[in-house]
Amino acid sequence: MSKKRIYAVRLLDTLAILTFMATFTSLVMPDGQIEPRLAGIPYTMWAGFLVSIILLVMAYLVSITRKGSNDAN
Amino acid sequence: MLTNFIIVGLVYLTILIFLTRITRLKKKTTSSYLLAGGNIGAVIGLFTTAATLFSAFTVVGMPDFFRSQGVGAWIFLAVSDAMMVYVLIRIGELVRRKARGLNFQGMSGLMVSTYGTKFAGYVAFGGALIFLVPYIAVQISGISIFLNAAFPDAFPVWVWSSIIVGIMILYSETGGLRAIMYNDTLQGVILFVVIWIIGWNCLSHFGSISSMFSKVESVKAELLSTPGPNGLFTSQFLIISAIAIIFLPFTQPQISTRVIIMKSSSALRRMAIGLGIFAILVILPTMLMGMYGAVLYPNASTQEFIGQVLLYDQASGIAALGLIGLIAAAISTSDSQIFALGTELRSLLNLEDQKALFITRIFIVVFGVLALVFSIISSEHLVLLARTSFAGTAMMGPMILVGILSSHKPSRLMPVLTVVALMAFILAKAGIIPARIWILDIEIFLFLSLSIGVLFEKRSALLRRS
Repeated sequence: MSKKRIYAVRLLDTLAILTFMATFTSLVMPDGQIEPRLAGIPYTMWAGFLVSIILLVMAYLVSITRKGSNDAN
Repeated sequence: MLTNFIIVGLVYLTILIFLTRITRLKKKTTSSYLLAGGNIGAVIGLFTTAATLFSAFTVVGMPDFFRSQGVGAWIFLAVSDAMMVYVLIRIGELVRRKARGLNFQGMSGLMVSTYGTKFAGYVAFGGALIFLVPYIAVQISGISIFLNAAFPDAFPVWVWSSIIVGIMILYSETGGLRAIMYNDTLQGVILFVVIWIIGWNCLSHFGSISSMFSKVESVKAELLSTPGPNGLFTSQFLIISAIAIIFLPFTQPQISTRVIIMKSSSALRRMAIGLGIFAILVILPTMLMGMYGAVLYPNASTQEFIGQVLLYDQASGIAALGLIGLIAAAISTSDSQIFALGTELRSLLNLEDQKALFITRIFIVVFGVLALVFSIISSEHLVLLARTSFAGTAMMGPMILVGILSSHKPSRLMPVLTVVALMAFILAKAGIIPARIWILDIEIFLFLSLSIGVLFEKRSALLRRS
């Protein structure tokens, strides 16, 4: 893998771990708090949804960096 | 509704029989029968893994979890699943490559090869058996009780359970893993369509998302935040659940087998991304069903609520489809789990292939009957038992990953620590030892201990090498 790809994977790993860890803090799940809402959706619900989408996008990006890597059969 | 159910049920059975016939194997070998030739493409891989992953736990358990514990259920499953996909892409490829290089026949056999001791294989097989059989049983019993409640004059619960187990064993024995995968694909599609029709109907009842949440707020505002009305969704609870779910592709043999037999790394990556999208799309309507239940049936039992949302509040054609969707969800997970236990056993047998396969096929029936017996006597709560099953098998995660990813032969430290952790986990669940150690839940404490074990193993490997 080229150096650029290695850096990209490391960056994505760090971001994914940070995003995942942030989910379990008051950033995403503040105790008993419903506000601020988004289109009537309570905070933890839309923030949780956003986190899952962000993690999936990162999964897609990391899968791109693996493209062309040795495909064992 | 009975007539509609019989019509939809017959169509479903006909397609199952058709798929079983076209996948029927004349000459059965370990590779063709237990591992489907090890050549699975991204699309079949996606649907079979999704159908195996999303069981009755999703159709029954998740709506009920949203209804009774609130929106934190999204973090419990959807965020954990998204992270699982990330880890699957990062580590799954390495695991797949190494496992195939070591002539993979099952995770237990792979542990024997990587650790160089049968003990590691027995730990992997024992852990899978202990935690999968009760989970299979509770799914079968849950669906059978539900069918009995829907058609009280048809059959008693044990007959429904026997019919379900009979169908699973029949097509598993006939076509092996390939038959299971094709049937899983059908069941995955049914599950997806049914859950969306019902979820959409639930949302239509309120008119819009914002009106749905404001109705829920007027009934029980605590449902709209964490830790929820019963205080279940604490950070520790969600972290343990997430760890358990992230480890699933490596620790639950029915999923790890599918990861390893993908035909290429790129097929595995495409399957993983598809799985993440499928997960979000399946969990979303269960949230709609749960919020609907929170407003209309806040005090109903799980069974009453699921009966209302899947059957009695739907048009009779949709209700019949809903019942089939529920059966499909339970069967597609349970058949793979029973079959995976057979595969695990086969990987531990050092016999001539045909003889080992014959014994394995007998034991697939034995595991099915075992699950049937358990299903008749079990009465556990579905979601929490599923979580116990995930957490229990996740205890084997560090041992499995150290075994597969090490460049050297590891010592017996991890298998021994895993046995201790599994025993401590079971004793804590049985209430014999405390479920908390200081401020930590026992599961977190055990995962930390296993992680320290991994560090020790790595250090001693470095010392051995130098």
